Amino acid sequence: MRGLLKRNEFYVSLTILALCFLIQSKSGQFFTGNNLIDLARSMIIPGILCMGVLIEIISGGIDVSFPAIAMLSMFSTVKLLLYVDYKGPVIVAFIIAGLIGLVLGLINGGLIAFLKLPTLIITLGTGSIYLGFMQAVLKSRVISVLPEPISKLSKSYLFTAHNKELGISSSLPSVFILLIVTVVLVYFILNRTMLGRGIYALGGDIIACERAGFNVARLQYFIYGFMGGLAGVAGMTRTVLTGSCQPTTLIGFELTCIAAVILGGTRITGGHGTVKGALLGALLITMVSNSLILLGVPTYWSKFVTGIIIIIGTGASAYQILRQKRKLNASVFED
Amino acid sequence: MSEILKVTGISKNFGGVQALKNVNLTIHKGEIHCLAGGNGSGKSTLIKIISGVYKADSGKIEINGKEYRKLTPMDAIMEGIQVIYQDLSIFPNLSVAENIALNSELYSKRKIVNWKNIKKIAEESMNKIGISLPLKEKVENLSVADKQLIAICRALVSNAKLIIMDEPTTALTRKEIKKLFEIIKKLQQQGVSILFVSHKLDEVFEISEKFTVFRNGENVITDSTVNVDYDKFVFYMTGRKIEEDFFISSNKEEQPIFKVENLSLTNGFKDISFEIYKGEILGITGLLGSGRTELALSLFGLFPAEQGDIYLNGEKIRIRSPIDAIKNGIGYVPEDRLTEGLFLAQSTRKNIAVSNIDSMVKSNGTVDFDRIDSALEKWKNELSIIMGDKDDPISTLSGGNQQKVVLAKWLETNPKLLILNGPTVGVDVGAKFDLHNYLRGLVENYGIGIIIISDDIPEIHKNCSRILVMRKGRICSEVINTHTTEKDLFSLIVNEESFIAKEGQEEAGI
Amino acid sequence: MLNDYHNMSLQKLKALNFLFKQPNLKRLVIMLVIAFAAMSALKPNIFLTQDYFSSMLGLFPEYGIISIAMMITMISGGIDLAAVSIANFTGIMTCLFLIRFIPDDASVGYAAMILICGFFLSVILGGFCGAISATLISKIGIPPILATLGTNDLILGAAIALTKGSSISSIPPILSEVGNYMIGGVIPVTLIAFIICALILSFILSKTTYGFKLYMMGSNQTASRFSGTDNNKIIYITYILSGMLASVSGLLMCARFNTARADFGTSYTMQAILICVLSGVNPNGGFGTVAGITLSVLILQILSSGFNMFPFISNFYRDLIWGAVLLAVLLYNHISINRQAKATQKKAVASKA
Repeated sequence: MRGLLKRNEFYVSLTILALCFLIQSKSGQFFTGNNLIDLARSMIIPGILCMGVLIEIISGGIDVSFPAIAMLSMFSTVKLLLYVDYKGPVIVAFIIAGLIGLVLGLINGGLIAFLKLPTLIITLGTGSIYLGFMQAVLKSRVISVLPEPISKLSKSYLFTAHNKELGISSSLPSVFILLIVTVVLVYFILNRTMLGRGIYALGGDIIACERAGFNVARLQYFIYGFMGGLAGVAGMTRTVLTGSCQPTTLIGFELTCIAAVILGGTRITGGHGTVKGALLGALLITMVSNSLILLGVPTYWSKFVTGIIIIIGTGASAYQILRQKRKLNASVFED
Repeated sequence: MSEILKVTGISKNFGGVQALKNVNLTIHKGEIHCLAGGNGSGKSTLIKIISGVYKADSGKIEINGKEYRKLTPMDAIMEGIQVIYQDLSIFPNLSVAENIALNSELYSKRKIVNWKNIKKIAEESMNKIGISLPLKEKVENLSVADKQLIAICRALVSNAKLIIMDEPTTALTRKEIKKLFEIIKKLQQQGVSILFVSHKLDEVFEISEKFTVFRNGENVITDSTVNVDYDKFVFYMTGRKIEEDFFISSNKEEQPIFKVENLSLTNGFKDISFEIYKGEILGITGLLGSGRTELALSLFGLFPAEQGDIYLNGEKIRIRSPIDAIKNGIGYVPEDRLTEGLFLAQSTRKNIAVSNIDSMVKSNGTVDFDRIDSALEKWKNELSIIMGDKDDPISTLSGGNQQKVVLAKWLETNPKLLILNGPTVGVDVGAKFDLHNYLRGLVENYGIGIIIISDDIPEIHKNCSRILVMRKGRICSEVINTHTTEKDLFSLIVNEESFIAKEGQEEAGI
Repeated sequence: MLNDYHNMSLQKLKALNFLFKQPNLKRLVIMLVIAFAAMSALKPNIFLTQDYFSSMLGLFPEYGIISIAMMITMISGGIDLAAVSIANFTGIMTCLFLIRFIPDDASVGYAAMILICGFFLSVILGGFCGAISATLISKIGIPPILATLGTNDLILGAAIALTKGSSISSIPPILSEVGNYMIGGVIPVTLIAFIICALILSFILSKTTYGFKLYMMGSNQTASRFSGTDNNKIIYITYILSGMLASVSGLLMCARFNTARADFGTSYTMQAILICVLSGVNPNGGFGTVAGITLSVLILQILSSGFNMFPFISNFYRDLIWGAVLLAVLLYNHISINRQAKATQKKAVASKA
């Protein structure tokens, strides 16, 4: 049992490596600069969101409303900035989106702390409300002309790699920095702050958590508020990456992120999970949908392959646990 | 003034129920005091009042000589009172070091975790009682005994002066209990007082100098443990001398109802062979870890034996699952009725029918609810089950009545052999007596074979005509109840001279 | 050994039980009547017309059947995130089957016969898909939410691969003719399909030993095993039934749109869960009724199509309304459960004295 968590990350890493080499051998294009940059670029949104999902699942909850929060924050901010014809620093866009997301997340946190019902159900409700609000009340639609600062950012890159063979080049968008910042921040929170330990404690045993003196309600507010803020930022980032505001872009993404985090060794029951694992899980899932084409597999198989990976990934550790339960403990013959 | 805790005249009422009535308790510095009492005696309530979780309705609380009008949990902790609950309240997913140091880190109001500090605190605490556990190991991988030690270390971190332990030995093996007692003695040497809640007399004797018994929310007695013996203790706890007669086997048959031969299961038990005849009640006992529970579960098909044979009325049978067991007429009343025997949220009606539901159908194959209702009526009368509406969730019944329903559920399946594991745990004295009588009646009137697996020595002694003692996975002794004393039985179980046995020897002038 | 926290949650369980039984149905009926009355009062000209009724009932059967499928898995203590994908996948396979075996010049009789074959094949396929989920859950031990997540991707992926992402058209007309037919010009065939499914499931749940064991297993899996129930068998039957129901729903969808796609109704999953919770299905298992589901779907249908009557309220309000109604119901439940729990704890403590 001890090495189970380690083993999970190990298997995922192994799978990733295997996939890398498979793709490389088939197409020779995997370890090229441009493919790696594409991969990194595709990791930005899943990576940021998975960090928030990681925190939620460690605490023992599940949130399915964050794509709606992301889209709603993104859309409202863009509309707002267009309305005032904003031309200032682009960071303000992220701040506004983040704040909107934060508020929406805090509503989640409040309901969860107050109602004490399964988080899945509550976020199902709020997610529907946020989505419906955006589509019905705000009458969301695709906005292709973005405020100037945002469209400027979407053309800003850190560096570029050229692929001489294929004659294409890929550039790493500047917003990649956001992913790095998020990962470092979440790592720090989870491993270096009492807040983070409280999140683990909450996922481990909620009664003991209360008894120990943690303020459970405050923890819930943070967990869901933080996710909301991240979702807002991720939504804005999405707009920057695609160069347009598409308010239906992340629908259904919640299940993908949850699957990625679970794949990385986070237990759905709570209390366990690491940043490294979640990133590996996200990487694996991203690779599958991105790089299948390099294997000569048509893109429409990617969902299927993802399904197989999820089943194998969750099945391996589940089966171990099942077999463990069927055996007796070894303590009987001691005296 | 060496009284660390003195409560006088404490009363507490919960929604119309008087949980505590004018109780007193005094604990001196460095004293090990045992608080004993059955379910509903009020001992849990008093602990919660002492630790500030509940507020007493009336009475005085003095800690270290200081009187507290309104004691808060924080006050109690500041005064050095630490409670270790039965469920231990530790975090299985966090490391040993973190569990030990967590509370103090929280109270220091630090935002950033200082891992070095945590390690230091944990090591210091473990040194105090002379143990060493791997600091980085996740607690879920450790044994219950180790978890308890961690809980004690955690209590010590905040300079505990009085540690209250709520039934700490329930899940410990004999060896682990001895280790725990060694540590408690060490704590005593360091001036820490211990309030030890337990209902096991042998423990009361072994570890405490003084004891207090509660019954129905009132003091019964406080005395030094040297002044009490077994019978007196039972009288204090129950308030009556429940003299149960010995159950004597009426066996006349040659052929056993049930027979096992050389049954073995890795990590469970080895070479178990026994028979049970019509008219007798077989008892299987032993300490935790002796294999008695594993044997019970195996006979019911939950952990099928790897080797050996099982015979029912002379016919060889295979039990690979509970379904096999039931098909062959074996029923199992489990140890933990809340998680294993009952569907708390479902109605009493459904609970009674669930094991026999496949037979309770009409000719067209649909569930025959009328038949279920008449079964419920029948068992309600036979077992004197006190219940409300049959559609109310079974969680509304008392422990004793719930256990009766579980028994009825199995009787509905017309079993040939009934295995009961700890049948009267958490059952009040009256219902316990009823249950024993009923089981005897079953054996005498219906020829059902009954095996009782229990560590409640009086229960086994009085109700089982023949008793098997297990140790380390094997059967080490077989005795007839009328030919053994309770004290001898106890010695057989623990395989050492117990305090009770010693006392017996003293009495006998040996 | 019961501490007060345990006591309190036991009392909550009892109160929850109350709310998830008759009083809950009563509450749903009241909500239904209010919704109906409100809509009739506000726009009697539109609401009370026959055409409107028929169109309003249009979506109801699909939602209803998928929700029933979701409900039985939730009663078992699990969930079926793959139901919609199963619906689409079996729909696609059936349409392909129909295209293959019904030539353009086929007689109506022949086409109808093939349609019936196709229907049965579809249901069997749906059951098979459900069995995959059941295997993962019972034989491998993957928690239902993750197992059906995986199965969902698997089956959705298979569907996408089959259709290469596009829709299947030129389906023989028999499907949409039958599917959109109105008996007597008023009652849609789809409604009949729903009623049949609802009656069958209601019977299974309340009158068979499987149904009995399902509710018990959903309440406490451990005790179920200790009581001699074959948990694995129950899980298999549950997910197979769910898959079969999903395939029926899928066929109805294909008939309505006269095409088959891999990604129909992607929001149906969450909405089905919403309907279940609204109707009183306990997400932890052990409770739920077909009647409750029916009422919930009706209420939400009336509300959302009612809002459609107001021109300034767009279609998108559906999500908003459903989410708001769900939260409102949860809040109401919370308040009344707490009130009841406090009352019954006093009673129980008094009786145990």
